[in-house]
Amino acid sequence: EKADRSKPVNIEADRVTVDDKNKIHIFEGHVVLTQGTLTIRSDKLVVSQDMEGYQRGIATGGEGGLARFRQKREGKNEWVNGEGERIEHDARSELSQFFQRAHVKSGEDEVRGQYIQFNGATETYLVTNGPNATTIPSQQGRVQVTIQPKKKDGAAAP
Amino acid sequence: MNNRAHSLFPVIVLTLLAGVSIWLDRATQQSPTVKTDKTRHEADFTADQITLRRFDLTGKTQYVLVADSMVHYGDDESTELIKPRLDYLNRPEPVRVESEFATVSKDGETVVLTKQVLLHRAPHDGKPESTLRTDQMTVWPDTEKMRADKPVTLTEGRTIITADRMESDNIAGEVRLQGQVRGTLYRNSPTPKP
Repeated sequence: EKADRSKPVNIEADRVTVDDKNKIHIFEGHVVLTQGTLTIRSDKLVVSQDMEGYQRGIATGGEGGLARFRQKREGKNEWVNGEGERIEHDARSELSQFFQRAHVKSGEDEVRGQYIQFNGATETYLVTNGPNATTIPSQQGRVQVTIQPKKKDGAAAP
Repeated sequence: MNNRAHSLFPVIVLTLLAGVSIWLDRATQQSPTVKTDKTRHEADFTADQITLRRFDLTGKTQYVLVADSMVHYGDDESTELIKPRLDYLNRPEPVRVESEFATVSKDGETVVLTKQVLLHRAPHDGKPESTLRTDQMTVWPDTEKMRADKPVTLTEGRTIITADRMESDNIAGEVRLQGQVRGTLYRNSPTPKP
């Protein structure tokens, strides 16, 4: 949801290191970040703030080595669930990027790949089979996208 | 000749006896221990309204320690301070540490602050003011390291983080909180709204 990004970020963890020099907070151990309807669970979470103070989080590791992401869709009673070895979430641009073993399920739609970028503002995806948004033509790692036909309003994700 | 030896005999016995009794007396006598204050934790001097300045190698004031009163103990050379306030000055942003009580080790190397411990760091280069509160904290002034084994509350601007324990290194600029960490991080908008 759009309103999430201006809300304060609540974080629970076992440890945190406040690094003054680099102006970052490093949370470690059973990390749970919640901001409005957004939740990210991981082993480690590095939170930094850009000039305007928008938070940016990099979550790595978690159960089975995967960090998990969950956010309610704008104005719908549907949830976006995502996981990846690393999840980067940028509150300002509302971009959530999933790296390695990336998998995002939103309602009935499902996307898998090495890299998925989910734009929370436009609720659109970019998925590639190579790491970091690169595409590897002949590689057997394929992209799988399942988009259910929309019954009602028909705004299918591309 | 024989009877002389005989007459000597009692003399020998007597001197022996005297010697033994002197030795016995000395051995059993407790060495008179002077009641030095080494055995009792007793104040040997006190001071009120004190200001202590510490200079670094270049002669600049490294920190200033102010306290309502202090009590110095002879046996372990420790010092107890009432309402101490420690100001670190030669840093980009002034840092103040205060509490109700503090005990300072012999050479001032270790300071244990107790009751309403507050560490306050002024805002500097874009970072908001930050504070740290706990009930007991150990400070090593010279290496600027601190540790609290009691619950702590850290604030940075409106952001609040609580935890069970804390370790911090002012020089490295790192504060590590451990145990049940709960944080609420707000967007600290560096440009204050007009």
